[in-house]
This record gives sequence, C-alpha cells and structure tokens, in this order.
Amino acid sequence: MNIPLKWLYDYLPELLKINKSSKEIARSFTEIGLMLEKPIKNDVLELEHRMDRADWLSIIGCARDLGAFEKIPFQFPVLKSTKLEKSQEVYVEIKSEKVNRFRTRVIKNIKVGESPSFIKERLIDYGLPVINNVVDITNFVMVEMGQPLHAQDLKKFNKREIILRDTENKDGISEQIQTLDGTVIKLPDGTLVLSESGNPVCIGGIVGGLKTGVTENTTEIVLDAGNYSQSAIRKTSRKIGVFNETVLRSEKFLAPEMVDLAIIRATDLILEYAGGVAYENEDMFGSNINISSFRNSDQKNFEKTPKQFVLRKSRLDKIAGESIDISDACEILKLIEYQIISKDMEKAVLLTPYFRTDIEVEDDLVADVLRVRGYSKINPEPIFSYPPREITPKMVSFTKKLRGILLSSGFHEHITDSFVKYDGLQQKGEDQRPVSRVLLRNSLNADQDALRIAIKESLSKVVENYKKHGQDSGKIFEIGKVFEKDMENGEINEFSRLGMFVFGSLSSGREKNLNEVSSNTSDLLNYESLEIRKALDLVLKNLGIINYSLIPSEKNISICIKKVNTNLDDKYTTKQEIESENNTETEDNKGLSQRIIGFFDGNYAEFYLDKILLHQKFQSFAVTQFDNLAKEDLTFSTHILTNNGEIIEFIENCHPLIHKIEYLGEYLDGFKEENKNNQEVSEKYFGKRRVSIRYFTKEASELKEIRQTIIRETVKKYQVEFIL
Amino acid sequence: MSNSDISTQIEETRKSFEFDLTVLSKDELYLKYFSRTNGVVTELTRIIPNLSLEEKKIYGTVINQLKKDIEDKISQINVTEKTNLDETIKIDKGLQGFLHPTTETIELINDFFRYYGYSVYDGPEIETEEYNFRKLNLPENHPATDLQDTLYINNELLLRTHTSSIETRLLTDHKPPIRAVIPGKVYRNEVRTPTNSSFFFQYQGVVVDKGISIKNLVETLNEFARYLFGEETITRIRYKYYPEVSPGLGIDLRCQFCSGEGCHVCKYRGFVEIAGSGMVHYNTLKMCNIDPEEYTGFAFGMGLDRLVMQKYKIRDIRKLYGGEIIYQ
Repeated sequence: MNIPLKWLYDYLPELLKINKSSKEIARSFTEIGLMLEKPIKNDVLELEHRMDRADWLSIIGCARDLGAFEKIPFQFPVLKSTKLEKSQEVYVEIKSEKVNRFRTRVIKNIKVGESPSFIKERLIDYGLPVINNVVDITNFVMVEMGQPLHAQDLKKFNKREIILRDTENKDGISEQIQTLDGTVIKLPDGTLVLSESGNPVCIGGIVGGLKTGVTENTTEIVLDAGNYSQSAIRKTSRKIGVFNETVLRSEKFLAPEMVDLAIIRATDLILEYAGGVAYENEDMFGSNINISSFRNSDQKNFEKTPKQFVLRKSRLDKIAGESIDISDACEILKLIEYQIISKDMEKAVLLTPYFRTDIEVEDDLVADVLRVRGYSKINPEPIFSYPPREITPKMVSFTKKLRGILLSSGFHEHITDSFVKYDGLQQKGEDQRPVSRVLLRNSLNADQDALRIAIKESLSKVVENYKKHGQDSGKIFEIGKVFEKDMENGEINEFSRLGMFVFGSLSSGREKNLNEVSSNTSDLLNYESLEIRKALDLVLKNLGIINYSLIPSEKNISICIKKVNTNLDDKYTTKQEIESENNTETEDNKGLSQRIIGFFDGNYAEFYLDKILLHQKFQSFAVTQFDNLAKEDLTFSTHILTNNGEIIEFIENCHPLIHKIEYLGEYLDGFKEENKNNQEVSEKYFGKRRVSIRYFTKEASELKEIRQTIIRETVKKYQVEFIL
Repeated sequence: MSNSDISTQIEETRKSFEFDLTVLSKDELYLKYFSRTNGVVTELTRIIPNLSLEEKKIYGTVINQLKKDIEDKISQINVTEKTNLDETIKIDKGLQGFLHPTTETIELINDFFRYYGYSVYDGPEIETEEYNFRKLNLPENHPATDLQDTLYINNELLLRTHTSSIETRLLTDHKPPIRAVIPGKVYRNEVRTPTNSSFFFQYQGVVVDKGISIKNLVETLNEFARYLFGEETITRIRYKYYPEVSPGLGIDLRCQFCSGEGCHVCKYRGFVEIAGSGMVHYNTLKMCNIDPEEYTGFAFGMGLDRLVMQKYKIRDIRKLYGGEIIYQ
C-alpha cells in the first residue's frame, strides 16, 4: 500500500504540525503493523499489507490507526450527498451468488474534463495514471476509502439495465469482453459480470469494459460500488491474469458498509468537479447477505450493526502479562473507533467498528490495545514455569545419531529436491505392496509434477555434480522423505529414508585391488559395491544390527532383518508399522519372518528408517558386576557375499554358554586359488570378519570346548576358515 | 682487551647475527643480543667506558652502529611470518564428513532451545487441510489456502505449506504444558527462481502452558536473537498479522551492515526480519482441544534458507538444495 505523505496529511493535519520526518512516520507505521517495505522515495511510503485488514488498503484506514498511535486527531472527509432523490433510471438485477451488495447512482449533465490538481497530484504520487475527472475521482475514492468504484457512460447502453450474472459457455464459445485498455479477454465459465442487452460490459470487482467506458463526450453516468465474494474475485483474476488496484481490494474481506461511504464521497466530488445532478438508483443485497444485519442504507449515519465483544480485564492481563486498566484499554480502543457500550473495573462491552472485518475473538481486541499502546512498551520476561516433559520423537534422535555415524565415516550430507517428473512408475513399495508414484495435482513446474519414490532419484544428481566439478570420488548421503501411492487402496504414504552413495576410488591403496576385482567379476564385486557394502555394514553395526541378510530381488538386493516384537509408543509410525507387519511376507522371504529394511544396488544403498527404528533400543543396561565373564575375539574368513548376520547368529546359538556376540568388522582380502584338478586358476574374494564373544564362564576347559564347538559347527555349515 | 680483539668481536657479532636471523624468533634474538645480563651487544657496549678517549672515538661509533643495525633488523621482523607450520603437508580431507549447511544451522538453533527445555518435534510432510489450514484459523476462502500457493495431491491431501501444520498436530496429540521446536521442509507452488524454491525449510517453535504471556514471547525471541547474532544485537518488535496467532508479532534485527541507516542488504529498511510470531490463536487452541481459558501460549516461525544462504554466502537457493554444492 502506497501512502503519499501529502495525501496522509489531509486526514492528519497535525502530523504536519508536529514536524515528523518521513522516516519517523514510517517507523510508527511499522510498529502498528504496516511495515515499510521499500526505501522512501518522493515522500511516498510503501507499506506491507498482510491480508487481514481490508481497511488498511485505504489512505483513510492507515491514517486512522496512525492518528491513534501518535495521539493526534483524525479527520474524516465531510460527506454531503447522503440523501438523494430516487429515480430508477437503470434496472438492476442480481442473478449471481457472488454478489453481496450492489449500489448504483445516476449522475446526469456532467462535464468530463481534466481533474483538479489536488486529485491529479495525489493519484500520480500514489502511482495511478490520470485520465479524466470522472475516472480519476473513482480511482481517488477507491484509494482514499478502500472501496472500488466504477463509472459507465449510460448513453452507451442499449438497454438501461445492469444484470449481475455468471458467464456461461454457449455452444462451446466463451463469452468475452474488451477491457478499458483494449485487451480482449475470454471469460471462463462462472465469471461474475455486469451485463446489459445480454453482453458483458464489466468483469465484476475486477475491470471495466471499453464499450461503456467514460470518455470526454460522456454526459450521463451510472456509478456503482459493489461488494462481492472475495474468493470468487481472486480465483477469476488469477484465471484471466488481471491484477490491478481494484482486484487488490475486491479480493479482501471488504465491509459491505464501505459501499455507502465510497459512492457518497464519489458523488460529492463528481458534483463538485464535473457538475450535474445525481439520483439514487438501486441498492441491492445478494442472497448471501442478511439484510437485517444492516441498517437501512438511507440511515442518518453510515454505521451498520457491528459485532459486540466483551473485553475482560483478566484476559487482557493474561495475554499482556501485566495489569492494564479496563478504562485505559477503552480509551485506546475508542481512538480506533470502537464504541464502548458499558464498562466497569473487570470488563467492558464494546462494538467493533464496521470496517474491521478481521476481528474474530476477544484476543483481537487485546491485540489492538497492545498495538496502539505500542509494542515497544512490552517488557520482556522469562518463562518461570518448569520445562515440561520431553516429547521428542524417536525418529528425531535416531536421524541425529545416523548423521553422526555417517559423518565420522567421511560421508557428506546433502539435501535434495523431493520433486521429480511424473513417469507413471509402478513398483513394489516399502511395505512390499504394489505402489505408484505420487502425482501432484497443480504443480507450476512441468518437470516437477510428482514426488520421489526413492532418495536415489534425486541424490544421484549430486554424484553427477561432483563429477562435473572434477571430483571423481566421494561418499554422500541424504536423510529425507519418500512418497508412495498404494495401488490397491489409493492411500498416500510417506516414509523416512537414508540414501548413501559411494563413488570413485576413495583410498589409493585399494585401487590396484579394485582393478583386479572389477575386470572379471559381477557388478556386485566391483570396488564401489564393496565400499557400499562396507558402509551399510558399518551403519547397521553402529545401530546394533548385526544379524541382517541380503536377499537378491529382481532389481536390487534387499537388506533384511528378523522381525522383533517392539513396544510402539511413537504414534507417528504406528499406522505404517501395523500395515507393514501385515504385509511384509512375500514370495521372496516367505516364512522367514524377515523385515526388509532397505536395499542396495551398485554403489548405492537406501535404508527404510521407520523399519530400522523398530529395532533400536534407546535404553542401555548398566553393568554392575564384572566377574564370571570371559571374552575373546575370533576371526574367520569367508566369501565376500556370504551374509555375516546369518553366520553370527549361527555362532551365537552354537553353545548355551555363549552370552553375547558382537560383530567387530570386515576386512577385504582377495586372492587367487589354484584348482588342483584341472589346473585352472579361479578367483575367490574373501572377507575376514572378526567377532567378539562373551561367555558365561571363565573356566579354561569350558572355553576350549565352546571354541571347538563353534569352529566345528560353523566350518561344517558355512565352509568358513577360522584364523587362529 | 686489545683493539684487534674488539674488532674481531664486532665482526663476529655481526656474522653470528646474520645467521641467527634465519633461525631464531624475534624474542629469542632480543634475548640473545640485548639481554641486560649477558646480551652479546650489551656486553660489547660495556667495553666502551673502559676505553681511552681515542679508542672511544673509533670503537664507540662502530659498536653503537652495530647496536643500531641489529635493533633495526630485529624490529623489522614480522612475527606472523615466522611459523613452524608446514603448509605443504597434505591433510586427508576424506576422514570427516560435513553436515548440509541447513542441518548445521538447524542443530545450532536446536542447541539453544534444547537448553531451555524444548523438545524437537517432527511430523508428516503430506498433510490434510484440517491440520495445515483449518486448525490454524485459516478459513476455507483465505488467500493463503489458494490453489496457487499450495501443492495439492488430491482433494484432501496437500504438501505442508508451513511447519505450523506440525504445531497443530503437536497441540492436538499432547496435553500442555508443551515446549517444542519443529524444523522441517515445507512446500509451495512457486516457479523456481534464484531466491524462491518450491520447497524450503522453516523453523517453528511453540509453548503452551498456564500463564504464558506476550512478554515471555518477546524475551524468548530476544534471547534467541542474541544467541544467534551476538550479544550486541539490537532487535525491534512490531505488530504483525498471522491468522494462527493473536496478537501477532514480528521481530527484526537491526541491520549489521548499515546499523539501521538503510542499505541494499536490509532493502533500506534498516532492519532485517528474523521471525514471525504471536500468541497462539484462541480458536487454534480450541480446535486442538486445549482450553484457551486455562492455557495460553506463543508460537514463532522463521524461514531458514535466507539465514543459511547468508551464513554460507550461497546466492542461489536452487544450488543449496539442487545438489549444486559440493564439499571440498
């Protein structure tokens, strides 16, 4: 909202006397809620409007509040033509539900010409073009009062009628209108128009038509001021791409009472500067307006029945955090045109001003008291109550822990776009049900009209970018959400995921090894795959998950763990978990009671965090006794693709005196082996895995027996080699 | 001491200083040559009073010149230039990963609020209109609920347009007293530009308890601003409308570049907006089944991206999240 200071002084003459600079005035406006948005130029303040106060889209509305804040008198313009002779020159009919109120006046024998200088100056300062006295006056009153107005040349009407109706598509052809600036607009169905002889002459609340526009030859006009459905105006203006000063106001919750003030003020100015005789025409209300809530439009003053509120001292004090007298509060509210009906020490009964369509609750009155008193008078005070109980969801702490693990392993975090281009993708979802990609209904970006189904889709772009910058190796991760649409029940689900990429050769010592490996083996055994295997192993190990297994599926390799019974107290994941419990069994893992917690594919791994979270223990056990337990480390060598988890779990169950087994890590060890029978050379790639075992005994003889059992049984089942 | 001895000593001193200059630090040089007890130059000057008048004329001048030369050379040494740091040693950069600048900023802010007993809350990114709009006192026809601003999935579901949706979930699911902060990704239906993205990050906070007033809100925001921007920070509070709060409040930081005079950084406002806030709306509390007569509360929210972009000097928001940043 632009405020030319010259115009502001018209209603606050004392502001000029107290000699406040434009910067000081802007500062006051800012404190009361109209923040200075741009640098002050030529004594015009550009203030931010926050959609709530429709009356702040007028110079008068802003001046009223500034006057109250500065404690200087506010002068409303004198209105003269309040009562006119009625002459129904133009037939008006409302056929649209989008009209709340429509008031018209007819002015005959006017002389269109140049506007007086005070109007021209103010409009130019505000930023509106100067056209002729009649059009300029409608614009002037719109900016002054905040209510859009419209004047039409009555002699250009075929029939003296204005029908307010919604446009209709006839035989597939849209209705259209040529606006004042000459643009032809095809009107979407249901657009509110003012029409005469069946043709639109104006888009209601948006823009006037060229056909009935006021020109220098005009001698008779019909002046209208309307109040329309603000949401309908907003939607139409977006559809047809028209944004102007009229739309700016019509799309807000304007008070229907403002129609009166604007039409009277405009009549006064036209009579004064263009001459003529004015007649009252029609004042009609739409079906959505309860007429009984308005006084007769021919009333003595222009106030309508406003909303009544009780302002309690107890409430005022509670919000303000200090004691404020009801009488002081009433004095402040009176300055911004509240009416006091009654008051005592404890409460006041007040009527809100007609133009305050924003007031909903008693706290809004408290806001007005504090605002006009000045926010700078609020003395900060710390909260004295005890901090409440902790409600941080487990997922928040869990992802923080994950980030720590990954950072310490040299992974860099990235955050990428959740949007992708819709491609109709269908696949098996996180809960192993058929799912499709989630399509957005109204995206403005054609290449971003759907949501990612895996982190990989967006994170892979980061790898490309690293390479583009000449950085051929790296370890990156992202923790974020993915989205799926269940193809059976249509439900939209979101899941938390961790995606990890390892690319390039990170350690020079390994490069030779990598070359040897990748030349003769499957993709799974190339260097990047081994690195990502190591990385996912590391993540799971750090999360206390050692007994995972890898199950190849059509597209990639699933990472699975055994289901555990969990006590779910995280409401946020409950629903998803219950569903997944019912649906995780598939052909691939039938009967195994396994939960898929992620997948890996080439140099990429993605984890299903909601699933992993179920296996997380957030309470540790305190050990108070250190006796009767022995511990030793065992290292065994096995093929790199053998599942660690399976072997470790097997070892744990080898002997009843094994208390606990902890997986310590994996070391890559590739070598060539001669096949003695046909003398061919075959390659085998081994990983040395080290585990730490705690026993329920310290007896050397027992320990020896347990160790022998472990080695015997494990070698028998898995053909591993123990390194002793 | 013979005259030749004096000459030799002067010459040796000069030579040894030239060498010492390359190996000793400034302090060590002063100590060696000008120590009051056994400084090399100090010892030489002590000879002068014992010399004959003739000798004084010759050697006194030479010794004083030597003293002056050494003093000058020592005083010219720039201490910072001399260091034991070998800058040619290669550091292995791959050992420690880095957090994304946004996460780092979130954790920095979390630290402040955790200290004051706030929980860190989270919730779904796909939301219903009820939690994203209605419970926040945004009626059906409010401009903010426009199709143009919100990304809809179907008639019921949308991508959350602000972290306030989590606030209403939190207030609905938990009983007061409540103190929580909510960092998160939010979405808007906007065409992507260097400064606007169709998703960005917000940081929300909410406190609901008995006896919470606007004074507590101002104190919390002031303290927070001091934590984030330094003790000398000057803030300004003003009325600001948000549908989900009443009274609403905006807090601004006095521009650190122009000290409030107005410059291009603060768009000539003199102040830079930090956060929007206010007392949780009476209707919001009611819709979340909290008795607004018994409990009051405040909420605040801020966009994180501009803060992050300013801190890390990233000019284009698309680069921040488009995978366009790399860590080196």
